[in-house]
Amino acid sequence: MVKDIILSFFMVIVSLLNMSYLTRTIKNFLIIGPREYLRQLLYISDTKAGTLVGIDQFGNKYYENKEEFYGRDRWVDYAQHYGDASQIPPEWHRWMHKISEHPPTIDPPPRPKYLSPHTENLTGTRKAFKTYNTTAPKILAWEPKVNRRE
Amino acid sequence: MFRLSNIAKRRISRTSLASGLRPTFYPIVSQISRNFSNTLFQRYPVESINNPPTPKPQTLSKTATAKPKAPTVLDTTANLFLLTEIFRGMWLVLEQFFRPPYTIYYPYEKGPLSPRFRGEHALRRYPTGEERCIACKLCEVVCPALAITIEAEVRDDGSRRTTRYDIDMTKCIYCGFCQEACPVDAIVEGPNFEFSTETREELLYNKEKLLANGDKWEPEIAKNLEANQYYV
Repeated sequence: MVKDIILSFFMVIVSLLNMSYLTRTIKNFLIIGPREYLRQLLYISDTKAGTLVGIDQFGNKYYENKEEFYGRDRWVDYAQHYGDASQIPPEWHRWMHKISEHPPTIDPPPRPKYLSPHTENLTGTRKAFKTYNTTAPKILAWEPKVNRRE
Repeated sequence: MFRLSNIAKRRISRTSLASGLRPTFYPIVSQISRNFSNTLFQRYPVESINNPPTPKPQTLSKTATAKPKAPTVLDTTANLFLLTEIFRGMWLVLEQFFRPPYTIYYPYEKGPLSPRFRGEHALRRYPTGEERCIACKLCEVVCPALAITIEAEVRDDGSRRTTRYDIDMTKCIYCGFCQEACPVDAIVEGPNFEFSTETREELLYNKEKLLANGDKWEPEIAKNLEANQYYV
């Protein structure tokens, strides 16, 4: 806990040094307020304001502001503290990477009946993929049987 | 308005005048490529390219025609002791400091991708849920890295299916030949590139993993194929 506080304090200092030109920072600060400002410094180490485009099934929030640079104009606010890029489901992945102009709330992709729930990259956990053989064994080993002595 | 950066600009322009001739205009790139020459020349309006007007003798200002003077001892000493180069460099850094950062802050912001992006492999299914792959082994043959291994058998209902569809993702070079060779659009390279693993073993994909990838990413794969339908 103490470590977290010290770390976040340190990150705020670093982020304050990292901010961009003042008018943009102040303008965005006035829009989002002090609480969100500090939260953003902790996560994206910048001050950004945009329209909330949508929220996915995991609670990740997607924002857009066309006044930002191309490539920085769409961003995600992860629901989890340790946000990982693989937590973005395929529908929103499409929008995040600018493959589609419209978010899935406007242009919903097909949802086939065999669709499985989205999982993040599970490497490093117990659920990580471990490969296995999908075929029957081709060589049947000889299992010696000893006849009973009579 | 007085700006320190103006001093920097002025100094640079003065050094560029070492040739003794001030360029009053600069050729645009298309003109350079058209004339196969990068010498300075008079820029004409577009209508008068065919019959260019006779160029007037240029009247240059006194500062432009003056012979460049070598820096005196005083100049050199002043530059040396007043650290002018250092301060000019520091001013450049300070200007950059107040500009918005260009860096894309991954994973909160992500760069653009093409719908044809070739990422992690996936085996697709028909809308009924039946797997598409018919074990024709074209992808196995075309694979330049020999990453794909297929074994086939006749299923109980008489259809030909794979019993083994392994892709060694550590061998794969992501060339996309497999998805181009596939006659039934079964194997595709999906849009996912965030499948890095901690161990090498996790990258030896088998059929179940590839089908699971397809089930997970089908909404986006279908949309991307739809976006490309006019070009295949």
